[in-house]
Amino acid sequence: MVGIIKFLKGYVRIRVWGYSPERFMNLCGNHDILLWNIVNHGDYYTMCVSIKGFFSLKNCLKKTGTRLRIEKRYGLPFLLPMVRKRKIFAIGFAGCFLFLCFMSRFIWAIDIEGNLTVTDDVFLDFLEQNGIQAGMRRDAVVSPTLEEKIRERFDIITWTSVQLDGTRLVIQVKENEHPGEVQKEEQEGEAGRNLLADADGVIVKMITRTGVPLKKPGDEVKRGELLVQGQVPILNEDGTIRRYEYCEADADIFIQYRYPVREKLPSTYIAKEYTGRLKKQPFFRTMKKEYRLPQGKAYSYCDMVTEERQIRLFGNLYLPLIVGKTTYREYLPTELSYSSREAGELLKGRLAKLVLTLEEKGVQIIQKDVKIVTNTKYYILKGNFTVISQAVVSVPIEKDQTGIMPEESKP
Amino acid sequence: MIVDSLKLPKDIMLGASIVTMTGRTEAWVENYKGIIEYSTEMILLQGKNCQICFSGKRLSIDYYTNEDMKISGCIECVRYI
Repeated sequence: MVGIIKFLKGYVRIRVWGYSPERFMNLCGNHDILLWNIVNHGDYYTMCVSIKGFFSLKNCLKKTGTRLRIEKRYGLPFLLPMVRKRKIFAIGFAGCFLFLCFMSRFIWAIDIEGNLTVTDDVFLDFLEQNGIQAGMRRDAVVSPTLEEKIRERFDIITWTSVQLDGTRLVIQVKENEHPGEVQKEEQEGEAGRNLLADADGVIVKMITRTGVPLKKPGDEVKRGELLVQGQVPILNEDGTIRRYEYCEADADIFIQYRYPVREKLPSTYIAKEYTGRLKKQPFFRTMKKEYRLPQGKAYSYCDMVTEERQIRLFGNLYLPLIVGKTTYREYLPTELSYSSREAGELLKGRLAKLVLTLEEKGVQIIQKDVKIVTNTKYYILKGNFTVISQAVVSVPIEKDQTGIMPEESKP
Repeated sequence: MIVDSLKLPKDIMLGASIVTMTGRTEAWVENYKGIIEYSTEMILLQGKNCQICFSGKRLSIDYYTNEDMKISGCIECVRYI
Protein backbone atom coordinates (compact mmCIF):
# COMPACT_ATOMS: atom_id res chain seq x y z
CA MET A 1 0.00 0.00 0.00
CA VAL A 2 2.80 2.36 0.96
CA GLY A 3 4.47 1.43 -2.32
CA ILE A 4 1.35 2.38 -4.31
CA ILE A 5 1.07 5.76 -2.56
CA LYS A 6 4.75 6.42 -3.20
CA PHE A 7 4.26 5.49 -6.86
CA LEU A 8 1.24 7.77 -7.23
CA LYS A 9 2.98 10.72 -5.57
CA GLY A 10 6.29 10.08 -7.30
CA TYR A 11 9.82 10.13 -5.89
CA VAL A 12 13.43 10.42 -6.98
CA ARG A 13 16.62 8.64 -6.05
CA ILE A 14 19.37 11.17 -5.51
CA ARG A 15 23.13 10.95 -5.16
CA VAL A 16 24.61 13.20 -2.47
CA TRP A 17 28.28 13.98 -2.01
CA GLY A 18 30.38 16.78 -0.67
CA TYR A 19 31.60 18.20 2.63
CA SER A 20 29.11 16.69 5.14
CA PRO A 21 26.36 14.43 3.86
CA GLU A 22 25.47 13.35 7.43
CA ARG A 23 24.67 16.96 8.28
CA PHE A 24 22.62 17.17 5.14
CA MET A 25 20.55 14.22 6.37
CA ASN A 26 20.11 15.78 9.81
CA LEU A 27 18.92 19.01 8.24
CA CYS A 28 16.47 17.10 6.08
CA GLY A 29 15.16 15.46 9.23
CA ASN A 30 14.78 18.82 10.92
CA HIS A 31 12.88 20.16 7.92
CA ASP A 32 10.53 17.16 8.01
CA ILE A 33 11.79 15.82 4.71
CA LEU A 34 11.50 12.06 4.66
CA LEU A 35 14.51 10.18 3.35
CA TRP A 36 14.55 6.43 2.78
CA ASN A 37 16.82 3.74 1.39
CA ILE A 38 19.88 5.67 2.45
CA VAL A 39 22.93 3.76 1.24
CA ASN A 40 26.57 4.64 1.77
CA HIS A 41 28.69 3.99 -1.31
CA GLY A 42 31.93 5.28 0.16
CA ASP A 43 32.41 8.58 -1.67
CA TYR A 44 28.77 9.34 -1.97
CA TYR A 45 25.36 8.45 -0.59
CA THR A 46 22.21 7.56 -2.45
CA MET A 47 18.77 8.03 -0.99
CA CYS A 48 15.16 8.40 -2.03
CA VAL A 49 13.12 11.54 -1.47
CA SER A 50 9.61 12.55 -2.44
CA ILE A 51 9.11 15.14 -5.20
CA LYS A 52 7.78 17.64 -2.71
CA GLY A 53 10.76 17.01 -0.41
CA PHE A 54 13.16 17.29 -3.33
CA PHE A 55 12.14 20.90 -4.03
CA SER A 56 12.79 21.82 -0.37
CA LEU A 57 16.35 20.50 -0.43
CA LYS A 58 17.94 23.66 -1.81
CA ASN A 59 18.58 25.29 1.58
CA CYS A 60 19.96 22.12 3.10
CA LEU A 61 22.41 21.74 0.23
CA LYS A 62 23.61 25.31 0.56
CA LYS A 63 24.12 25.07 4.32
CA THR A 64 25.98 21.76 4.27
CA GLY A 65 28.04 22.34 1.18
CA THR A 66 26.89 19.12 -0.39
CA ARG A 67 26.01 18.50 -3.97
CA LEU A 68 23.17 16.49 -5.44
CA ARG A 69 22.29 14.66 -8.63
CA ILE A 70 19.15 12.85 -9.59
CA GLU A 71 19.87 9.19 -10.33
CA LYS A 72 16.41 7.97 -11.26
CA ARG A 73 12.82 9.16 -11.29
CA TYR A 74 10.00 6.92 -10.14
CA GLY A 75 6.21 7.18 -10.13
CA LEU A 76 3.19 8.38 -12.00
CA PRO A 77 4.05 12.12 -12.23
CA PHE A 78 7.05 11.17 -14.37
CA LEU A 79 5.05 8.79 -16.57
CA LEU A 80 2.40 11.33 -17.57
CA PRO A 81 4.71 13.73 -19.44
CA MET A 82 6.21 10.73 -21.21
CA VAL A 83 2.73 9.71 -22.32
CA ARG A 84 2.09 13.26 -23.51
CA LYS A 85 4.87 12.82 -26.05
CA ARG A 86 3.43 9.51 -27.24
CA LYS A 87 -0.05 10.57 -28.27
CA ILE A 88 -0.84 7.52 -30.40
CA PHE A 89 0.09 5.25 -27.52
CA ALA A 90 -2.17 7.19 -25.18
CA ILE A 91 -5.03 7.11 -27.69
CA GLY A 92 -4.50 3.38 -28.20
CA PHE A 93 -4.50 2.76 -24.47
CA ALA A 94 -7.66 4.76 -23.94
CA GLY A 95 -9.25 3.12 -27.00
CA CYS A 96 -8.39 -0.31 -25.67
CA PHE A 97 -9.94 0.55 -22.33
CA LEU A 98 -13.10 1.88 -23.96
CA PHE A 99 -13.27 -1.17 -26.22
CA LEU A 100 -13.06 -3.45 -23.19
CA CYS A 101 -15.76 -1.47 -21.41
CA PHE A 102 -17.97 -1.68 -24.47
CA MET A 103 -17.36 -5.37 -25.09
CA SER A 104 -17.98 -6.27 -21.47
CA ARG A 105 -21.61 -5.24 -21.96
CA PHE A 106 -22.22 -8.36 -24.05
CA ILE A 107 -22.24 -12.07 -23.38
CA TRP A 108 -19.44 -13.90 -25.11
CA ALA A 109 -19.64 -17.39 -23.64
CA ILE A 110 -22.39 -19.63 -22.38
CA ASP A 111 -21.52 -22.36 -19.90
CA ILE A 112 -23.97 -25.04 -18.97
CA GLU A 113 -23.23 -27.05 -15.87
CA GLY A 114 -24.92 -30.04 -14.30
CA ASN A 115 -26.68 -31.40 -17.39
CA LEU A 116 -26.29 -35.14 -17.92
CA THR A 117 -29.34 -36.21 -19.91
CA VAL A 118 -29.95 -33.00 -21.86
CA THR A 119 -26.93 -32.48 -24.09
CA ASP A 120 -25.20 -29.13 -24.51
CA ASP A 121 -26.27 -28.93 -28.17
CA VAL A 122 -29.94 -29.42 -27.32
CA PHE A 123 -29.63 -26.85 -24.57
CA LEU A 124 -27.88 -24.31 -26.79
CA ASP A 125 -30.50 -24.79 -29.53
CA PHE A 126 -33.23 -24.14 -26.99
CA LEU A 127 -31.43 -21.04 -25.74
CA GLU A 128 -30.99 -19.77 -29.29
CA GLN A 129 -34.71 -20.21 -29.95
CA ASN A 130 -35.31 -18.05 -26.90
CA GLY A 131 -32.93 -15.38 -28.12
CA ILE A 132 -30.08 -16.27 -25.78
CA GLN A 133 -26.81 -16.56 -27.66
CA ALA A 134 -23.23 -15.39 -27.55
CA GLY A 135 -23.04 -11.77 -28.65
CA MET A 136 -26.26 -10.59 -27.03
CA ARG A 137 -26.41 -7.73 -24.54
CA ARG A 138 -25.96 -8.60 -20.89
CA ASP A 139 -28.96 -6.61 -19.75
CA ALA A 140 -31.24 -8.50 -22.17
CA VAL A 141 -30.95 -11.63 -20.03
CA VAL A 142 -33.82 -11.86 -17.58
CA SER A 143 -32.73 -14.63 -15.26
CA PRO A 144 -36.05 -15.58 -13.58
CA THR A 145 -37.91 -15.79 -16.92
CA LEU A 146 -35.17 -17.87 -18.50
CA GLU A 147 -35.01 -20.19 -15.49
CA GLU A 148 -38.75 -20.74 -15.71
CA LYS A 149 -38.60 -21.41 -19.45
CA ILE A 150 -35.85 -24.01 -18.99
CA ARG A 151 -37.86 -25.83 -16.32
CA GLU A 152 -40.96 -25.76 -18.51
CA ARG A 153 -39.19 -27.08 -21.59
CA PHE A 154 -37.17 -29.85 -19.92
CA ASP A 155 -39.26 -31.85 -17.47
CA ILE A 156 -36.23 -33.69 -16.16
CA ILE A 157 -34.68 -30.45 -14.92
CA THR A 158 -35.82 -29.73 -11.40
CA TRP A 159 -33.68 -26.71 -10.53
CA THR A 160 -32.01 -23.97 -12.58
CA SER A 161 -29.83 -21.01 -11.86
CA VAL A 162 -28.87 -18.37 -14.43
CA GLN A 163 -25.97 -16.15 -13.48
CA LEU A 164 -23.78 -13.63 -15.23
CA ASP A 165 -20.12 -14.01 -14.48
CA GLY A 166 -18.29 -11.24 -16.32
CA THR A 167 -19.10 -11.77 -19.98
CA ARG A 168 -20.00 -15.41 -19.34
CA LEU A 169 -23.53 -16.65 -18.86
CA VAL A 170 -23.46 -19.56 -16.43
CA ILE A 171 -26.50 -21.80 -16.43
CA GLN A 172 -26.51 -24.37 -13.68
CA VAL A 173 -29.14 -27.06 -13.74
CA LYS A 174 -30.00 -30.02 -11.61
CA GLU A 175 -31.65 -32.99 -13.23
CA ASN A 176 -34.07 -35.31 -11.53
CA GLU A 177 -32.10 -38.27 -10.21
CA HIS A 178 -35.24 -40.40 -9.78
CA PRO A 179 -37.25 -39.97 -12.99
CA GLY A 180 -39.46 -42.87 -11.90
CA GLU A 181 -41.12 -40.62 -9.39
CA VAL A 182 -42.24 -38.25 -12.10
CA GLN A 183 -43.56 -41.19 -14.07
CA LYS A 184 -45.52 -42.38 -11.06
CA GLU A 185 -47.12 -38.99 -10.68
CA GLU A 186 -48.07 -39.06 -14.35
CA GLN A 187 -49.70 -42.44 -13.87
CA GLU A 188 -52.01 -41.19 -11.16
CA GLY A 189 -54.74 -40.32 -13.61
CA GLU A 190 -54.88 -43.87 -14.98
CA ALA A 191 -57.37 -46.50 -13.87
CA GLY A 192 -54.75 -49.13 -12.98
CA ARG A 193 -51.88 -51.15 -14.35
CA ASN A 194 -51.24 -54.79 -15.23
CA LEU A 195 -47.93 -56.64 -15.18
CA LEU A 196 -47.07 -58.55 -18.34
CA ALA A 197 -44.22 -60.94 -19.08
CA ASP A 198 -41.42 -59.42 -21.14
CA ALA A 199 -39.78 -62.72 -22.17
CA ASP A 200 -40.63 -66.36 -22.94
CA GLY A 201 -39.61 -68.51 -19.98
CA VAL A 202 -40.47 -70.10 -16.66
CA ILE A 203 -41.40 -68.23 -13.49
CA VAL A 204 -38.86 -69.06 -10.79
CA LYS A 205 -40.06 -66.86 -7.95
CA MET A 206 -43.07 -64.62 -7.54
CA ILE A 207 -44.11 -62.32 -4.72
CA THR A 208 -47.25 -60.28 -5.39
CA ARG A 209 -47.81 -57.14 -3.38
CA THR A 210 -50.77 -55.57 -5.18
CA GLY A 211 -53.13 -57.06 -7.77
CA VAL A 212 -54.43 -60.53 -8.62
CA PRO A 213 -51.69 -63.05 -9.54
CA LEU A 214 -52.68 -65.19 -12.52
CA LYS A 215 -49.53 -67.32 -12.60
CA LYS A 216 -47.47 -69.14 -10.01
CA PRO A 217 -43.82 -70.24 -9.77
CA GLY A 218 -43.08 -73.08 -12.17
CA ASP A 219 -45.54 -71.86 -14.83
CA GLU A 220 -44.34 -71.28 -18.34
CA VAL A 221 -45.10 -67.84 -19.72
CA LYS A 222 -45.03 -66.25 -23.14
CA ARG A 223 -43.94 -62.72 -23.87
CA GLY A 224 -46.91 -60.36 -23.41
CA GLU A 225 -48.84 -62.78 -21.19
CA LEU A 226 -50.70 -61.27 -18.24
CA LEU A 227 -49.01 -62.14 -14.95
CA VAL A 228 -50.60 -59.89 -12.36
CA GLN A 229 -53.92 -58.17 -12.95
CA GLY A 230 -54.51 -54.67 -11.66
CA GLN A 231 -58.26 -55.17 -11.87
CA VAL A 232 -59.30 -56.65 -8.49
CA PRO A 233 -62.85 -58.12 -8.44
CA ILE A 234 -65.02 -57.37 -5.41
CA LEU A 235 -67.35 -60.33 -4.89
CA ASN A 236 -70.86 -60.50 -3.57
CA GLU A 237 -71.80 -62.96 -0.83
CA ASP A 238 -72.99 -65.46 -3.46
CA GLY A 239 -69.66 -65.32 -5.25
CA THR A 240 -70.75 -63.15 -8.18
CA ILE A 241 -68.70 -60.15 -9.10
CA ARG A 242 -70.06 -56.92 -7.73
CA ARG A 243 -67.57 -54.55 -9.21
CA TYR A 244 -63.87 -54.09 -9.93
CA GLU A 245 -61.36 -52.08 -7.95
CA TYR A 246 -58.40 -50.85 -9.94
CA CYS A 247 -54.87 -50.69 -8.64
CA GLU A 248 -51.36 -50.61 -9.91
CA ALA A 249 -50.19 -54.23 -9.97
CA ASP A 250 -46.93 -54.59 -8.08
CA ALA A 251 -44.94 -57.80 -7.77
CA ASP A 252 -41.43 -59.24 -7.82
CA ILE A 253 -41.51 -61.86 -10.57
CA PHE A 254 -38.32 -63.62 -11.55
CA ILE A 255 -38.45 -65.35 -14.90
CA GLN A 256 -35.83 -67.75 -16.20
CA TYR A 257 -35.42 -67.37 -19.92
CA ARG A 258 -32.94 -67.62 -22.74
CA TYR A 259 -31.12 -64.46 -23.70
CA PRO A 260 -29.74 -64.65 -27.23
CA VAL A 261 -26.18 -63.42 -27.72
CA ARG A 262 -24.67 -62.47 -31.06
CA GLU A 263 -21.48 -60.53 -31.70
CA LYS A 264 -20.00 -60.06 -35.15
CA LEU A 265 -16.39 -59.13 -35.90
CA PRO A 266 -15.13 -58.56 -39.46
CA SER A 267 -12.12 -60.77 -40.17
CA THR A 268 -10.21 -57.85 -41.70
CA TYR A 269 -9.63 -54.33 -40.46
CA ILE A 270 -7.89 -51.17 -41.62
CA ALA A 271 -4.74 -50.45 -39.64
CA LYS A 272 -3.25 -46.96 -39.68
CA GLU A 273 0.45 -46.83 -40.33
CA TYR A 274 1.59 -43.33 -39.43
CA THR A 275 4.23 -41.91 -41.73
CA GLY A 276 5.39 -39.41 -39.12
CA ARG A 277 4.56 -36.43 -41.33
CA LEU A 278 2.26 -33.87 -39.82
CA LYS A 279 0.98 -30.41 -40.60
CA LYS A 280 -0.30 -27.79 -38.24
CA GLN A 281 -2.84 -25.26 -39.38
CA PRO A 282 -3.65 -22.38 -37.06
CA PHE A 283 -7.04 -20.77 -37.29
CA PHE A 284 -9.18 -18.22 -35.57
CA ARG A 285 -12.92 -17.93 -35.46
CA THR A 286 -15.19 -15.05 -34.66
CA MET A 287 -18.88 -15.43 -34.02
CA LYS A 288 -19.77 -17.18 -37.28
CA LYS A 289 -16.77 -17.02 -39.57
CA GLU A 290 -13.66 -19.11 -39.45
CA TYR A 291 -10.35 -18.07 -40.93
CA ARG A 292 -7.64 -20.63 -41.59
CA LEU A 293 -4.09 -20.07 -42.67
CA PRO A 294 -3.25 -21.82 -45.96
CA GLN A 295 -1.84 -25.24 -45.33
CA GLY A 296 -0.68 -26.52 -48.70
CA LYS A 297 -1.53 -29.84 -50.28
CA ALA A 298 -3.75 -32.01 -48.10
CA TYR A 299 -2.81 -35.59 -47.26
CA SER A 300 -4.86 -38.37 -48.86
CA TYR A 301 -5.27 -40.12 -45.52
CA CYS A 302 -4.86 -38.29 -42.28
CA ASP A 303 -6.10 -37.95 -38.73
CA MET A 304 -7.31 -34.49 -37.85
CA VAL A 305 -7.04 -33.20 -34.30
CA THR A 306 -8.42 -29.74 -33.54
CA GLU A 307 -7.64 -27.86 -30.37
CA GLU A 308 -9.30 -24.53 -29.69
CA ARG A 309 -9.80 -22.11 -26.88
CA GLN A 310 -11.69 -18.92 -26.37
CA ILE A 311 -9.65 -15.84 -25.62
CA ARG A 312 -10.39 -14.30 -22.25
CA LEU A 313 -9.04 -11.46 -20.20
CA PHE A 314 -8.70 -11.18 -16.43
CA GLY A 315 -10.02 -14.68 -15.84
CA ASN A 316 -13.67 -14.22 -16.78
CA LEU A 317 -13.90 -11.60 -19.51
CA TYR A 318 -14.49 -13.76 -22.58
CA LEU A 319 -13.86 -12.21 -25.99
CA PRO A 320 -15.70 -13.30 -29.15
CA LEU A 321 -12.56 -14.81 -30.58
CA ILE A 322 -11.61 -18.46 -30.65
CA VAL A 323 -8.10 -19.45 -31.63
CA GLY A 324 -6.79 -22.90 -32.19
CA LYS A 325 -4.87 -25.23 -34.42
CA THR A 326 -5.65 -28.31 -36.43
CA THR A 327 -3.02 -31.01 -36.63
CA TYR A 328 -3.08 -33.38 -39.58
CA ARG A 329 -1.18 -36.65 -39.11
CA GLU A 330 -0.67 -38.58 -42.28
CA TYR A 331 -1.10 -42.35 -42.30
CA LEU A 332 -1.19 -45.12 -44.83
CA PRO A 333 -4.15 -47.46 -44.56
CA THR A 334 -3.20 -51.12 -44.54
CA GLU A 335 -5.69 -53.93 -44.59
CA LEU A 336 -4.87 -56.59 -42.01
CA SER A 337 -6.72 -59.67 -40.85
CA TYR A 338 -7.28 -60.88 -37.32
CA SER A 339 -5.77 -64.20 -36.37
CA SER A 340 -8.28 -66.59 -34.86
CA ARG A 341 -6.66 -66.06 -31.44
CA GLU A 342 -6.90 -62.24 -31.70
CA ALA A 343 -10.48 -62.46 -32.87
CA GLY A 344 -11.30 -64.84 -30.03
CA GLU A 345 -9.85 -62.46 -27.46
CA LEU A 346 -11.65 -59.45 -28.89
CA LEU A 347 -14.97 -61.28 -28.91
CA LYS A 348 -14.37 -62.55 -25.37
CA GLY A 349 -13.75 -58.96 -24.31
CA ARG A 350 -17.06 -57.90 -25.83
CA LEU A 351 -18.78 -60.83 -24.14
CA ALA A 352 -17.31 -59.84 -20.76
CA LYS A 353 -18.60 -56.32 -21.31
CA LEU A 354 -22.07 -57.67 -22.10
CA VAL A 355 -22.03 -59.84 -18.95
CA LEU A 356 -21.05 -56.82 -16.90
CA THR A 357 -23.84 -54.73 -18.41
CA LEU A 358 -26.39 -57.46 -17.70
CA GLU A 359 -25.17 -57.86 -14.12
CA GLU A 360 -25.42 -54.11 -13.59
CA LYS A 361 -29.04 -54.35 -14.66
CA GLY A 362 -29.62 -57.00 -11.99
CA VAL A 363 -29.78 -59.95 -14.39
CA GLN A 364 -28.52 -63.21 -12.90
CA ILE A 365 -26.73 -65.39 -15.46
CA ILE A 366 -27.24 -69.12 -14.78
CA GLN A 367 -25.59 -70.64 -17.81
CA LYS A 368 -23.54 -69.42 -20.75
CA ASP A 369 -23.70 -71.37 -23.96
CA VAL A 370 -21.80 -69.55 -26.68
CA LYS A 371 -19.42 -70.51 -29.47
CA ILE A 372 -17.38 -68.73 -32.11
CA VAL A 373 -18.18 -69.51 -35.74
CA THR A 374 -15.93 -68.40 -38.59
CA ASN A 375 -16.84 -67.71 -42.17
CA THR A 376 -14.82 -65.96 -44.88
CA LYS A 377 -15.76 -62.44 -43.84
CA TYR A 378 -16.67 -62.55 -40.16
CA TYR A 379 -15.97 -64.11 -36.83
CA ILE A 380 -19.35 -64.59 -35.18
CA LEU A 381 -19.93 -65.26 -31.53
CA LYS A 382 -23.39 -66.66 -31.01
CA GLY A 383 -25.33 -68.63 -28.47
CA ASN A 384 -27.62 -68.15 -25.52
CA PHE A 385 -27.40 -67.20 -21.89
CA THR A 386 -29.82 -68.72 -19.46
CA VAL A 387 -30.70 -65.84 -17.20
CA ILE A 388 -33.04 -64.98 -14.36
CA SER A 389 -34.38 -61.47 -14.13
CA GLN A 390 -37.50 -59.46 -13.46
CA ALA A 391 -38.57 -59.50 -17.10
CA VAL A 392 -41.92 -57.80 -16.63
CA VAL A 393 -43.52 -54.66 -18.01
CA SER A 394 -46.19 -52.53 -16.44
CA VAL A 395 -48.93 -51.46 -18.86
CA PRO A 396 -52.04 -49.41 -18.15
CA ILE A 397 -55.39 -51.18 -18.17
CA GLU A 398 -57.31 -50.24 -21.30
CA LYS A 399 -60.23 -47.89 -20.74
CA ASP A 400 -62.97 -50.15 -22.08
CA GLN A 401 -62.09 -52.63 -19.35
CA THR A 402 -62.52 -50.09 -16.59
CA GLY A 403 -66.31 -49.87 -16.58
CA ILE A 404 -68.19 -50.66 -13.41
CA MET A 405 -70.24 -53.84 -13.56
CA PRO A 406 -73.81 -53.27 -14.79
CA GLU A 407 -76.57 -52.55 -12.28
CA GLU A 408 -78.33 -55.92 -12.76
CA SER A 409 -75.35 -57.83 -11.39
CA LYS A 410 -75.89 -56.05 -8.08
CA PRO A 411 -77.95 -58.02 -5.53
CA MET B 1 12.62 10.83 41.79
CA ILE B 2 9.84 13.12 40.60
CA VAL B 3 9.54 11.52 37.16
CA ASP B 4 9.03 8.10 38.78
CA SER B 5 6.59 9.31 41.40
CA LEU B 6 4.47 11.24 38.88
CA LYS B 7 4.77 8.34 36.40
CA LEU B 8 5.85 10.66 33.61
CA PRO B 9 7.31 9.14 30.41
CA LYS B 10 11.06 9.01 30.88
CA ASP B 11 11.94 9.38 27.23
CA ILE B 12 10.24 12.77 27.08
CA MET B 13 11.26 14.03 30.52
CA LEU B 14 14.88 12.86 30.45
CA GLY B 15 15.38 13.03 26.70
CA ALA B 16 16.39 9.36 26.67
CA SER B 17 16.72 7.68 23.29
CA ILE B 18 14.61 4.59 22.58
CA VAL B 19 16.28 1.79 20.67
CA THR B 20 14.07 -1.10 19.59
CA MET B 21 15.79 -4.06 18.04
CA THR B 22 14.43 -7.04 16.16
CA GLY B 23 17.05 -9.75 16.32
CA ARG B 24 20.36 -8.45 15.11
CA THR B 25 19.19 -7.23 11.72
CA GLU B 26 16.86 -4.33 12.44
CA ALA B 27 16.85 -1.43 14.87
CA TRP B 28 14.45 1.47 15.31
CA VAL B 29 15.76 4.58 17.05
CA GLU B 30 13.65 7.41 18.46
CA ASN B 31 14.60 10.60 20.29
CA TYR B 32 17.86 11.50 18.68
CA LYS B 33 19.31 14.69 17.40
CA GLY B 34 21.06 13.56 14.25
CA ILE B 35 23.62 11.44 12.51
CA ILE B 36 27.24 12.10 13.27
CA GLU B 37 28.78 9.44 11.12
CA TYR B 38 27.39 6.92 8.65
CA SER B 39 29.25 4.13 6.93
CA THR B 40 28.43 0.49 6.17
CA GLU B 41 30.44 -0.58 9.27
CA MET B 42 29.30 2.04 11.74
CA ILE B 43 26.43 4.43 12.35
CA LEU B 44 26.99 7.00 15.08
CA LEU B 45 23.96 8.89 16.30
CA GLN B 46 23.79 11.91 18.56
CA GLY B 47 21.23 11.44 21.31
CA LYS B 48 20.11 14.15 23.72
CA ASN B 49 22.49 13.07 26.49
CA CYS B 50 24.86 10.65 24.82
CA GLN B 51 25.96 9.19 21.54
CA ILE B 52 24.77 5.81 20.29
CA CYS B 53 27.07 3.77 18.12
CA PHE B 54 25.82 0.86 16.02
CA SER B 55 28.63 -1.18 14.55
CA GLY B 56 28.34 -4.17 12.27
CA LYS B 57 28.36 -5.10 8.62
CA ARG B 58 26.34 -3.89 5.63
CA LEU B 59 24.58 -1.28 7.75
CA SER B 60 22.12 0.99 6.01
CA ILE B 61 19.40 3.43 6.93
CA ASP B 62 16.01 2.35 5.58
CA TYR B 63 14.37 5.66 6.41
CA TYR B 64 15.25 8.77 8.34
CA THR B 65 12.95 11.44 9.72
CA ASN B 66 13.08 13.94 12.54
CA GLU B 67 11.16 11.52 14.77
CA ASP B 68 12.65 8.11 14.16
CA MET B 69 14.87 6.07 11.92
CA LYS B 70 15.33 2.47 10.96
CA ILE B 71 18.71 0.81 10.66
CA SER B 72 19.09 -2.54 8.99
CA GLY B 73 22.06 -4.79 8.38
CA CYS B 74 24.10 -7.15 10.53
CA ILE B 75 24.36 -5.32 13.87
CA GLU B 76 27.25 -6.61 16.01
CA CYS B 77 27.40 -4.02 18.75
CA VAL B 78 25.43 -1.12 20.22
CA ARG B 79 27.43 1.21 22.42
CA TYR B 80 26.51 4.31 24.40
CA ILE B 81 29.35 6.77 24.43
